Amino acid sequence: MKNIIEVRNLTKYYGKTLAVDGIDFDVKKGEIFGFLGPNGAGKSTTINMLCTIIGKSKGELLIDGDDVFKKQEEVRKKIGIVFQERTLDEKLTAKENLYIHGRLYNIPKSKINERIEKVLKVVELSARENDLVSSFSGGMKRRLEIARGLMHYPKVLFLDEPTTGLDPQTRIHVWEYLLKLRKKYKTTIFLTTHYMDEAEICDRIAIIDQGKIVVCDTPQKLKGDLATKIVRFKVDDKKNAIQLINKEFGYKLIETNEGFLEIEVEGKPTEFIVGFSKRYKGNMSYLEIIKPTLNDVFINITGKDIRE
Amino acid sequence: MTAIITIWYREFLNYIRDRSRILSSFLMSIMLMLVFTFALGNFDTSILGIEKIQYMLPGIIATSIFMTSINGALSVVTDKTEGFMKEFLVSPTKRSSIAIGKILGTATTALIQGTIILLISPLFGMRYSIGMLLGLYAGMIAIALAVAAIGLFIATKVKSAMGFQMFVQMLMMPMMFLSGAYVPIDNLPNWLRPVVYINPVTYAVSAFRNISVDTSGISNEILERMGLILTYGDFKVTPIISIGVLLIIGSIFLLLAVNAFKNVSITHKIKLRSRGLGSH
Repeated sequence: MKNIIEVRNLTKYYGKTLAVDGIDFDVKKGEIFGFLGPNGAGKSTTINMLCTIIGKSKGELLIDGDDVFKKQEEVRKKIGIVFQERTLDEKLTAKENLYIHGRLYNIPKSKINERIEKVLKVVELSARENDLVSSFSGGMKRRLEIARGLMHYPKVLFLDEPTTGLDPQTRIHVWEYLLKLRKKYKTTIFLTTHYMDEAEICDRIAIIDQGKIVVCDTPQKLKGDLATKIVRFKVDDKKNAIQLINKEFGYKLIETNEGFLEIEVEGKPTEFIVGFSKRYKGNMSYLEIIKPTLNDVFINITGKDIRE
Repeated sequence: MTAIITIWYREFLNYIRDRSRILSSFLMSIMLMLVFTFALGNFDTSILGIEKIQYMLPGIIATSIFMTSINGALSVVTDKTEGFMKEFLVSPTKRSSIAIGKILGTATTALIQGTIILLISPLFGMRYSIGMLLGLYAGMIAIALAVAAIGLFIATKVKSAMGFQMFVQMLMMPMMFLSGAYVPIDNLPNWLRPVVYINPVTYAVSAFRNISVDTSGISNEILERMGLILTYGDFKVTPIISIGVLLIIGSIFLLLAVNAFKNVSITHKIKLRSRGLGSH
């Protein structure tokens, strides 16, 4: 598959502060690519450079083969952007917002109404097309912004923290639209997020921390790489079990407040479980193997919680 | 061209959507009429052989167009602070188109304001001829464009609506009082004269007075004393010259504003955050 975005050694300084530190990555055509990182990691700076909003300090950046910094206008025609903050004209109706966008992107007058209808249908706002945006809920405004970003059929849709500030139910809705859209238009989607569950939906994610891309892979692969799993169990004779584990297995053992015992296992946890249940004489009333989440991956890689 | 029309269209929609703005347009017109009537209560215009309204109207039109036009640029500031400006700035639209569209939008609302005054003024005894109306509109368009460009330039330089309004307030007083609209230029001390001559409102007032008052048959001395003609030494500034001066001032500020627009930072907020929290 062809790369739609190619980034080489991209660097950005704000004054003397290094915000983005020589990053490299590619985004393939039609993929959902997520940029994951804590606040201040360089996510917004990167997406702003990709969207022609700010200049670079160093490096190379191609979108659909065009140099973002040299062919700004060409690139702008090819991309759609949904900003982190609201950028709708709330005094106008949904339709008028889309109309103005369409005209700014040179969609001919003869086609514009058909386009408006189409994108409004995708985000299920057709019934509200003539209502003022100021009467919309937060989720509806976001959906309208997504519809607007799609008006000119962009090759890449950029979403900067698309669901921040939305309630969980609305977030799920927004995601349904994004997935539907990808299916329908095969649009490449580039997004930044600090929600782990959103990152899980992406085809590939790049974890960025302190201006550097730490890893870049599929969520499954990243989680697979983090081999540590937690075995959580409950036994009737705790004292005996602790003694046995300390003597025979040598795992670090944690006793939780709820009365569970937990050990961290590298590799396959079956070896421990089988071995332990053979030697332990009492009853085991509970057993759970906890797989790593992306958050664990994140903590493991960056040494801190994403929500910090 | 499409982009300019689109941006103009959006400004126009915003104006007609806002009932309070239309209402205040009407109220402002009526208020200005009343204020001028009281303020110039004892002013004798019989020496010119004209009604008082004829003498006052140029000042009223110039003042209200000036106020509407300069305040119109406030939308640029709110677009910036409310985020909508980003939509313009990341679109494949030239910065100059955005600036021109904005100026045309603002000038349109100012012209609507001027039209309202022209419509109301017959109630106060004003009479027009076709030629006079055409002349007035030419002058109104020129001052509306010039002041809209000045407003846009200011708007690109300030960071908040509050800052814009404070700056405009500061500018408004001298520009209105040092224009001959209220106080005849003849009565002003000499050291203030340069300000009068660079003030676009001066040229608007002069043009409007010359258009709305038939000055033939009145001696130059009286005309000058009554503030009816603007002279520069021995040189008499005609309405055509006034309109020309306004258009030149407008063009200069248009260029300044377009230039300033090129450097408008869309990421102002992000930069602030990066400094404040050491992030992004």
